[in-house]
Amino acid sequence: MILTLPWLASMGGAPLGVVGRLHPLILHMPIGLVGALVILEAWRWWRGEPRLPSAALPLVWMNAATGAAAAISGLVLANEPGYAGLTLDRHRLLGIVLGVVGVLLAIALTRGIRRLDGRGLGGYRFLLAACALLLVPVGHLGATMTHGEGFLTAPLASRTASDIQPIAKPAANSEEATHADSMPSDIRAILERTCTACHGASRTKGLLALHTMDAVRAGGEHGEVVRFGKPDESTLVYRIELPLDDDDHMPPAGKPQLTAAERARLREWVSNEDRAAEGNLANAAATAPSLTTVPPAPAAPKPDLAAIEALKARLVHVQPLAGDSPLLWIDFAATTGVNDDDLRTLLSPLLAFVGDLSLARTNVTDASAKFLVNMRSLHRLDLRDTAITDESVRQLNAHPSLQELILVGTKATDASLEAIRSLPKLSRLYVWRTAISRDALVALRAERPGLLADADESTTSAAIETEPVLAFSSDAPLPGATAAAPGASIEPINSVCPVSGAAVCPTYVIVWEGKAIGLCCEKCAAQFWADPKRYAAAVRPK
Amino acid sequence: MDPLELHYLDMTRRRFFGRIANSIAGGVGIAALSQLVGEKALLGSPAGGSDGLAMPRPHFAPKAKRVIYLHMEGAPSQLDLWDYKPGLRQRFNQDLPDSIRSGQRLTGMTSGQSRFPIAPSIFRFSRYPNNQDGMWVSELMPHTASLSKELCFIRSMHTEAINHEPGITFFQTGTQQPGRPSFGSWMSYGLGSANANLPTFVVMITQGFGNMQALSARFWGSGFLPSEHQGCKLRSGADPVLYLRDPAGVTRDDRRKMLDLVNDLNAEEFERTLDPEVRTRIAQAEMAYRMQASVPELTDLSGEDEATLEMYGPEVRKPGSFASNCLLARRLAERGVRFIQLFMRGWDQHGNLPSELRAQCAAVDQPQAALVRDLKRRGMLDDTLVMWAGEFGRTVYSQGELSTTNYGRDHHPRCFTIWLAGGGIKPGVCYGSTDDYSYNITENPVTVHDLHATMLHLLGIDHKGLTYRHQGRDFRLTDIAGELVPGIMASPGIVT
Repeated sequence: MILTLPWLASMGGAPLGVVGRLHPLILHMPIGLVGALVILEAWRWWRGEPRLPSAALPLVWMNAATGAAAAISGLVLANEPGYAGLTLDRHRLLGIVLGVVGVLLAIALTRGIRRLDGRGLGGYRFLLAACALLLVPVGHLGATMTHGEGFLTAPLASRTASDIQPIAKPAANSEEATHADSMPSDIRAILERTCTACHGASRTKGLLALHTMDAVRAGGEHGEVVRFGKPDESTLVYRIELPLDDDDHMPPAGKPQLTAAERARLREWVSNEDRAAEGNLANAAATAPSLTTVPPAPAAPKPDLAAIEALKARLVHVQPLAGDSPLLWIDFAATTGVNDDDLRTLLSPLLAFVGDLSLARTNVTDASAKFLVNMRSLHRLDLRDTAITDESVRQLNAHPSLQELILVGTKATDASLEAIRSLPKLSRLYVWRTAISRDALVALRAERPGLLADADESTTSAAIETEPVLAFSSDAPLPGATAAAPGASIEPINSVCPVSGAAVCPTYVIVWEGKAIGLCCEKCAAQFWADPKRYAAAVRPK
Repeated sequence: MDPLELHYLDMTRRRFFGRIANSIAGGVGIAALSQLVGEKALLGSPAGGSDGLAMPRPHFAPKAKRVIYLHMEGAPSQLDLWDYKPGLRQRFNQDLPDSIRSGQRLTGMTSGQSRFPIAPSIFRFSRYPNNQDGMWVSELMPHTASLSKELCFIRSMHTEAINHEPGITFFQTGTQQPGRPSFGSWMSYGLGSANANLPTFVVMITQGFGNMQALSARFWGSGFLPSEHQGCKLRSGADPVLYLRDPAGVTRDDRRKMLDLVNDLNAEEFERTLDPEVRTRIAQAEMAYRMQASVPELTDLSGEDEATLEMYGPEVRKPGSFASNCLLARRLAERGVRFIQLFMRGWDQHGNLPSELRAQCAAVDQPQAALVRDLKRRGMLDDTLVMWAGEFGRTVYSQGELSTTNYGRDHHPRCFTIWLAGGGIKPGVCYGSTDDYSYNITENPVTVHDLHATMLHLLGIDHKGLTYRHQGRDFRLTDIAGELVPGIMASPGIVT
């Protein structure tokens, strides 16, 4: 039987591969059987019985058979792609030994059990102990491959904050990245939590390992999985971002999943073009060892994540203007007590990225103006109901990109208008509740017809015309009719109100059963509808 | 963590969301969740960029940042307000020609009528200047009419529904059947909150004078979207949110200390169970704590000057009035609330239209005009999209008896008039037209889906790109329809 093993193993890819997949099932049988045999032997030793119960014999042969089957199926399975490494080698060697010992154990018992005095069972006892002891490393090594490194001991390790926090912290300190193989520690933590159990040192499903930078670069059976700088061309990013119910989603459904923040962090890591350069550098180094230093490519400008977090901590709204825009909309509407110093601290790292800034109803003053003018991409600035004065507006002199300026409720006066004239792109200006005079605005509008300068004085307008007193008739020809069609006339047929007996007023004409009935007032009209038949009978046609 | 435990937690979270999605009670507690499960807002929503900022964002640069939607529940008569048909005055009591009706289905309320007599509007219209040749508006809406230069009227709206419930549902969710997320929920999901102190989607209701149809909380529900996105209804009484005030004898400091202690205990519980719901609970308590300050600040009108209050009309200090809600809408918009929806009930004039419509219009005209004007002069109309709409229109023929002083009108889905303002909408125009009877559209029909697509576009969202996977397929607000309407956009250049 042992001779057939290499042949069996070589059949791993054929239908026999099923045998390999049965390994996780079969292997549990000998474990249980060895356990049963140990219990029987312990019972015999404890009671001082010379003989084993006769049940031991079938048990021991079942153990031999299933142990051998487990070993063979394991050999087939090991031949499949995705299993490699030291752990597998050890597991395989010890597994074969265990299978052989199982068979020897059966033979020893068969021979020794015939002796009534129990003396023939010394070899059996020795082999049984060997079996039981061997099971421990074999089982542990196997479990390590299935469940990942440290599966057994994980619950013993104390839960630290980093284990609990499923959302990995962004690598604010990228110095960490200067690890031997330059994988940032938070990326390593994410991969170890969700990926390396199957794609790691002890197990390489799809021939892919993700436990080191080299392994990540090497890719899997379908080629590279990460193209640094191009997240949209990276299989790893693509597959983790697929919906959970997609067959290609990773990690597979039922396994620990990545959180959205972790996915975002992985995408960010892959997007890093410096790393692409680094990779190229490494490749270049391999081919041409004596290269000169290549300066790293300038990174695309990105807002500082830490500065954005600081804003959010103060409840400042911050959001990218649009999908691809590096510019931000920053709004202080939810904040209280923000002053000039806060503003400087919060916005200094982001000056180049502020596109739309609302400081409405905050405590900012002219002290911030020098600072605001440095936001060269600013296109909308809302200073409504702040204490700023003409001084701030003057500071904005000739700001190149400002399109909309809101000075409502500030101390701005006509003196601001000169600076406002200097803003080349300004198209909307709001100055309600300021000291800016109407004359100055009229002059500004004449000068800049494209500029809307609103002070709430011309928003509403009166009617141009009103239709005359309404008159109703049924005289209009019906659509498609060539001559005037005979419509029901609303000339009342009576001259005396059937309810009150007063004269009919032409405003109160009711059409009932095709007859136009005149009434004298609204009250009579209401009364008519209360009992139309009675009053209609009282109508006296003219 | 143990995979089994993770799986278990996932299950409980799903069950948790499923449960609150079914709760009609809604309210602040759940709306407050919107701040907590921020990461959920990323799924399928407008693209996260490559800048590492894990937050929702528009697809392209938006014109509008927020929406104020004035819903006239019950369907106001376009014939008596906006759709000027002077020719009908000479067709009083004529029968509606079959060539006009052309087999249009009728509701059960008028299908039994032997005649369909034309009821011309008894209200006088005036022409107000706009950026075209002027806009004719009835005498019932003088304040709104005076803003014609700012408004964009669509006279050619039409809908599929002929009754209120499906009609409102269609306008709110893009489908007539209940169960889909409302516009405000989609917006909350797609763009996220702009004020961590307040809910993202706020609803306020005013009682009307006419026939009032049921108004159920599912109209502002989040459907299958995570329930953090559902609308938060502010109560119309003196307390817009209940239990905001600390009990007598409890100071703000006490509350803070209590919360800190509870948070510490919850943090310990989280260490022990790793249950994300515990963290949710912590953040929820923090949101409620912040709302204790932000809501009183919101409703405190002491900072409003007298002239502004006067502009909103005599009812502005009466909680729950349309005037009061319009003022609150402006204050919410100022504070960054994304979607503010005001419901005005009582527009269902099947009978007694003249007297009821007078009362309805008197309640809304001045406040809604004040709202638009107030936004404009604060520089906020540029990025606030205001919409005024009912769920359908009303018939040209009278329901019940017709006289020169009284008539009623039945439901009419084939054409009706709405208006929009601000937020990238072309000001001072009138789009689309109807026939002489205001019965059929003759030019530029606009469906509800088209309207939704255009509004999303102005908010920086590609309506085909804002999706959520549910029951095995991607859903969107516009379902499988919706064309942009360039004619109502100030700069119709289509960005893709």
